[in-house]
Amino acid sequence: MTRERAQRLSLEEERRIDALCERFEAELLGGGAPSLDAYVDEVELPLRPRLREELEALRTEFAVAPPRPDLAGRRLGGYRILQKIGEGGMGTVFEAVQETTRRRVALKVVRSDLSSEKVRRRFEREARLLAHLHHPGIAQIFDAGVDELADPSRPTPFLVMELLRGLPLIQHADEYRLGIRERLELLRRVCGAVQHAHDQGIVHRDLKPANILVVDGSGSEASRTDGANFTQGMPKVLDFGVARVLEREFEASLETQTGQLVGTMAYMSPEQLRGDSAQVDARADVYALGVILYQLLGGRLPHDLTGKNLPSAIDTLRTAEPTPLGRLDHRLRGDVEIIVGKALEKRPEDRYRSAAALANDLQRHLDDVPIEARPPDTVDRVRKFARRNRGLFTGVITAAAALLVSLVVVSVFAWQQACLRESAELARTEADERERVASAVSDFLNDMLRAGDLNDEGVSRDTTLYEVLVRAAEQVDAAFPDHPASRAAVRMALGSSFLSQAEFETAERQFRAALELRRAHYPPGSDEIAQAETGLAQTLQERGRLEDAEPLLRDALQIRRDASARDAASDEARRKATDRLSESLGNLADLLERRGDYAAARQLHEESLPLIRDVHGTESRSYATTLNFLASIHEKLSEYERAEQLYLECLAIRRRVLPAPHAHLANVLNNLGGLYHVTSRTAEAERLHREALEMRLAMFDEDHPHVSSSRAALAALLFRGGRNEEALEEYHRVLAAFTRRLGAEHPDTLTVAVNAGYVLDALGDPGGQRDLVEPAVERFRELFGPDHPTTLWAAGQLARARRGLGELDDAATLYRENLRLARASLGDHQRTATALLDLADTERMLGRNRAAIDLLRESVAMFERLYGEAAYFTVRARYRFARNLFDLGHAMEAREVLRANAAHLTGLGPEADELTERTAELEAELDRQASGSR
Amino acid sequence: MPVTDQAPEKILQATVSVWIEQLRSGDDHSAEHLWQRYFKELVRLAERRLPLQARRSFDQEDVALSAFHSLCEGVRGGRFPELSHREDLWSLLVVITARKARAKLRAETAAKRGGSAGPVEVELSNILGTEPTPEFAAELVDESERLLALLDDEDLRSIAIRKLEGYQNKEIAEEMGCALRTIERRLALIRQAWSELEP
Repeated sequence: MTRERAQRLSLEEERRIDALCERFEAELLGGGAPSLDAYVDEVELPLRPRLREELEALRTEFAVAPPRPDLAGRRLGGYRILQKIGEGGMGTVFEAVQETTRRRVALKVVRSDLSSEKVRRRFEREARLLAHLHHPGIAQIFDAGVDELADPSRPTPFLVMELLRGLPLIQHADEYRLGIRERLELLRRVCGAVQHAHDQGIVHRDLKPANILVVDGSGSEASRTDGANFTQGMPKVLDFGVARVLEREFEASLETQTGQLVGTMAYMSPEQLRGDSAQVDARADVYALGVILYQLLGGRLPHDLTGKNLPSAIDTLRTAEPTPLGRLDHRLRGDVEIIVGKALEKRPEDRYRSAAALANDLQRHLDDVPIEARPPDTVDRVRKFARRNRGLFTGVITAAAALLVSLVVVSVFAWQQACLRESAELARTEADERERVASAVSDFLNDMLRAGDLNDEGVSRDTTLYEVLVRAAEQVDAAFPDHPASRAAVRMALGSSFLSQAEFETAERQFRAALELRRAHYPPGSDEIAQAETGLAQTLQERGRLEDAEPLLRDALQIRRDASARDAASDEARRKATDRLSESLGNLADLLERRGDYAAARQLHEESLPLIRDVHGTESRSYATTLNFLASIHEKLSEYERAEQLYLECLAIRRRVLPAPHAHLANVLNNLGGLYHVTSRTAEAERLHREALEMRLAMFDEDHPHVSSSRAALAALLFRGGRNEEALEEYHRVLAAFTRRLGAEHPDTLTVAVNAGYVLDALGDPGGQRDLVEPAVERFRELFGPDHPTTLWAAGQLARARRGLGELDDAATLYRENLRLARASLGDHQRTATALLDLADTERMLGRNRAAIDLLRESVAMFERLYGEAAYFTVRARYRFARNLFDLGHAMEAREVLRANAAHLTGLGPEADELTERTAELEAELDRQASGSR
Repeated sequence: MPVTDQAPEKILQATVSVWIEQLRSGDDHSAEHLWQRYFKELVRLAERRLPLQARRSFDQEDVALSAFHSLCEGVRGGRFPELSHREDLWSLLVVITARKARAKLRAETAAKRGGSAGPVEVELSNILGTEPTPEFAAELVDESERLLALLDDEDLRSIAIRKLEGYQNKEIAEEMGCALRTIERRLALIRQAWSELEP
């Protein structure tokens, strides 16, 4: 090997040869006939044979089989492509030559679908308009075209631009070690170019350092006309207006890989991030200039997006204030910090109104004249603070509150009008009208006020909103003493709002009042009654009172079944009736699922799925919701593949139709994460749960049950990873939040208590475990009955605590009862299999070995049936089986079970580390015993 | 680790040794069998590690990691490395990783004995004859990251990635719009860089 290397050239020498070959090839590609000898002469003697060999090979290849690159060497329009010089988000850039003038140009082949003639004409027209943009600081666009020689079905659009040789802005500034003044001057000139385009009505929309090339000042005609005496070169802005030509906005780029986005996103103004294209104007470019200036001076981006996922990155960009520049470098305190701060204001109206105004202040600072921007005063600071702390959409909420008041007034007015009519016919028309208005009132209020649930902007819980609602609730009766229907409508709206804010007690009071009013004032069978029943039932359900909720939901379902069986007056009416029926089916199914009656729940969902598909199609929120429900039932029935399939389908629809962050998106992420947790795909589970948690924290307060449920899921994962202390801490936070918001006896609170019990058990605290679990078991028995899977599970944990406390007989009784109930009600089920394992352990502790072995064997078989040979649960059960076999003197059999386990154990990843260790110990014991007996 | 030393299936093990024999006698077909068997498993193991490290982030430093992701993508897409070329980049990557691991092991043993560790020779056929372990997969991820970062030239790096993704030289040449000879020359350069700059 050493001998061989001695004959070879060094890496450095090979690189030089490679560079020469590259030049040689470029000439060949350009159609030239470069002299081989001239090239060979450029290197010293020892390198010549090697270089000559390469060059000859290249020349031969060009003569015999010229490279057939997809573009290089080809003609596009009147241009011949020479070589690729770069690759960007929007396309590939080539060096090309215009055939008539021999002018060298940069030709950008754009990635865009131009299959439609309309889009294509638009592209050409817009691009030609851009060609009218002339400024020394803007890379000139000469021409544009669409080529379809290569593949007529896929036309290739291209832009022809000025060929520039230079470095991207920041790289240039660093390379030439520019000082602060020089950097400010450089950016001032960029501002000039940007302003010129703005004057022509063209906004860049994608300004970033990579889009600003600084060309060498000496050779450039442009730098002389600009009168610059700086040595730092002339900045040239690339791709002006290209974003618009391609209709590429932020939403479109969201589709691309998240990683690619960062380059663009960090420079986007808050209004662009909101996807609010109507609001995007020249001031979006001013914002981008601010970011570029910040980075140019401070050496980093204003917002650190490292390690952030998409929703939280967007949130940071929209809400967080950047570290003031002066804190990064004290020389930037004062003017510069104020200028950059003003360019980076979140609201467009707070920024410099134009790039010229920014340039002007930069010039003033450079000239030591007082700048126009002023430092933020106290009022600004208070305003900013308020904005940060109340979320971005306080405006929406205030508007909603105002509407609540005004619409109620409208409906009262309509009611009064109706009462004044003498003619019965007219009164009926008016009554219909009133009803229409009233239901419009409540529909609209529902949509606007169900913050954090239905609001697409991800509105957070907000004290102002809460206060408005409470005040409204107090004033309803006084405001409409004679108009029960309006009163009920407002109560309904308030009930929904409180419910979505997880203020269940208040919500219940509102719904009860509404139901009472409606039962008294509407004819039986009215949908208004069904609506009030549904609202109340959902609230009761949230408070864990399933037995009170069920009759209400059944009544509502009956009302809607009857209604949809009647002939509908119009298509619209039929649609609405179907919609309501499927809603009621879903509600009752949800309740039955919570009660553990999965088969009945599945049946109801399956009844409603085709109804929803017919009315809304598959690409709809309601279809996704039903999929989500159905998936969770399949999951509970241990039908994991089907459950995963349905969750994924739901997730895909929701990602397409809902804007992130969104409560429903977080919900399905959480559910799928839970499924992955159960099926041992912990890394995927953690990723999904974290995404859900971040999304929820962006929408809700810390105590919100949705935040808690994400936390609980993470805690379970932490526990599984052996991080017990962290898991316990997380559980305590969830327990406290649940107790405050849901009450100590809510099923979710109880579930978390039992989960926390596991951690206490692992930490060796069976007493603490018993204290948490015992009350939960009692309450579960009352709520769900003794054979509900959740009750069985909690009882199993109680038995475990008792065993830990040495109360073996009590533990065995509990376990035996559990197993009996599980076998009877669940059959093959994770809980049954677990019950088998648990009882086996206890039987052994009581010295009943044979019984223990039989139970273990049965449990391994059940796990195999449920999860397959290789799943973590199965592998773990098999290990326990082997351990027991060995302990009870069946070494041969133990070894066989271990052997069956070995292959699967390696495939499980880090979570099985402990299991691997224990297996190793057991094997060692087996070996010792074997050699001992020999 | 006692568990990983156990062969999952005796029949497979026998076939593997036949393949190794054939490989030594220059049968490329067997090399492909071996490689595919070894490689599928390796990628499976490596991917298991990836989600933890490569949590989706906006960090530029993650580029190399995502490069490894795309390599795995290529393998999943059915583009296996060309084993007719013994100088395939993947083979080199695997050999470098294995050599490094063994050098470390030898250095440790040598230090215990007070001697020095001699040069480590590792043959691809030997590596392919063993089961890839999760540890090895993790090291391979690190190593691919390090070696890709070592190529300071953008063109070289994209050629390396394309090659690792299982593309043919001709396809890469077409994509980059240059001569096939240039791709071959640069691949040699990459191999040289990796072999020489290896500590």
